Amino acid sequence: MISVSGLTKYYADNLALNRVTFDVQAGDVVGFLGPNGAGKSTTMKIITCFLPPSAGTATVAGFNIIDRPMEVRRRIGYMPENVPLYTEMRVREYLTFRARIKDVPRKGRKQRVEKVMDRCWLTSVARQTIGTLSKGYRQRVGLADAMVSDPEILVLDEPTIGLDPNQVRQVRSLIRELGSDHTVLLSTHILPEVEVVCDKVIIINGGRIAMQDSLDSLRRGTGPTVDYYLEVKGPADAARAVLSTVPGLKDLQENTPHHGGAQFAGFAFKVARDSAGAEEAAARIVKNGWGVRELRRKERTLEDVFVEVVGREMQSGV
Amino acid sequence: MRHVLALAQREIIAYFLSPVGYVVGFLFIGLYNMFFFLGFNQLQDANAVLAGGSSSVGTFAILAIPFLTMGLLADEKRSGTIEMLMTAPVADWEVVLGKYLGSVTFILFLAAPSLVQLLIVKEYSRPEWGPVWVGYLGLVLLVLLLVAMGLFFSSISKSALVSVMTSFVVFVTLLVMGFFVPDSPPAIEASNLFSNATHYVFAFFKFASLGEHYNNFSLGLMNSKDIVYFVSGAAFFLFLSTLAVESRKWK
Repeated sequence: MISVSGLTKYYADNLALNRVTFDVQAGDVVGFLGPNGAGKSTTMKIITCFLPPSAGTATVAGFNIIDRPMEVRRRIGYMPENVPLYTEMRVREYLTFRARIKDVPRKGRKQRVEKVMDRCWLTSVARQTIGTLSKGYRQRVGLADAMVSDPEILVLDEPTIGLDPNQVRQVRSLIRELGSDHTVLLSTHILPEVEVVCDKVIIINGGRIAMQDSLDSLRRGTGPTVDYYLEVKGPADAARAVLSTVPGLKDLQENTPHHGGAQFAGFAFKVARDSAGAEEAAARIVKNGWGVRELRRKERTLEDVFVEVVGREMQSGV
Repeated sequence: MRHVLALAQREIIAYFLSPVGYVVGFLFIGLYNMFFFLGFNQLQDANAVLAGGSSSVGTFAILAIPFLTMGLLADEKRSGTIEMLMTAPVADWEVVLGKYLGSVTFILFLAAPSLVQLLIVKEYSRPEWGPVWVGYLGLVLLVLLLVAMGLFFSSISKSALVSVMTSFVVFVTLLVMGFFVPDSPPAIEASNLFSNATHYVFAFFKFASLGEHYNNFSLGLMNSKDIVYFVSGAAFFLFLSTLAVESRKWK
């Protein structure tokens, strides 16, 4: 749906994007992740035809951003950072104007605006002047604006920035809902957001794509081992002895939490991926008459990946 | 074309929702009507009164238009709303034309109360109507040109303040330019070529001057030359404004 190839952008002498290349398939919800200043907004401004690239190209829904920008703009619903709105207009008025601009046919326009306001929880403020709305509401107006023409693709630049936790949850659930029948590209530097909302993630740092992958395969990881945490109700030393006999169990460490009290002992260890080492360890503990209070498989979090990827970039002096 | 109308409509709504629209509008209407009132008391001839009436609308329009056009594009750039326009399926020329039409409509709406002057004078005398309508044509043409220029100065700046000052300086210069150009070049001891050249330079300034052309309309003279001046000038500045908007694509 969106195909970006070799996108490069200079702001005067400052290289903001360096041969950025990535793909977004139809129906994906992609999180565009990166530290501040990485180039997320710039990439989005180029994809939505607001800025021209210095080099490289992009294709949206089959249309090239340089050759057929109008077609591209027709198919994208864009919400920029800091949601700029006409503060003197009222919400319904503004959305109707935007619907007109985006060629929403007159016949269903009114209903479309009402529907979009309803979906963004704006019906109660429909008659309010935008200048009097709180940031959370304004953000929702921006979102409603992006949705009003029912575009195939939604490009959202930091959609939850500046919102309170309640509003954040609401907006995220709305985006997830939208993701089921739209292609969504959203940018953020809030990792949990990506984990909660997106299927795929693209990490950008210093104007370069550091990594792109689906969240599932990210979490599963590709390393040879998987980390586990095991909490045993029983004597620590004896349990440790038993665990060290389990074949394939490596890097056994005692890791007792303070909240457990004297009778609990915690251990961290690694086993080879796809082996049954963890289950075997639990079985042996139980066979010895002790209780297994917790056996947790530690999935690699997005944060781990992010820090690793960005850290690697920083270390290599990029 | 639908986009242009939608944009123009929005612009008009914005004028009615903005304090500047009301303040400038109020002053504009108040001042030109006041001048009409003064002229009405002082002058004897109905035609002169009406000519004075419509030309004073024009004079105050020259002062009012910079304020009413300063924000058209400069504010959009400053607040970032230009990004919303430029990422919607709206062409750059549609944006310029939409704002232009909205602004012209609002300003002509502010000038419309001057028609009351006609009704008032009609009660007391029988003026010649021909020159009156020519006077109004001149006013419309003047507004068409000045708004185009004001829009252009708004399109090249991010600050409404810079736009308004530039517009002012340019408008006033254009207006009075004609008065300072002597009808014949100063006597210079030089070759024919040189004095011809200065003659042309002077003629150019005289032609470019707003005052010259607008005056003709106030006097009831409808020259195609003057109409061309205003219309082509307006088209030129609209073209430049469109270029200015498009220029973000060249960076």
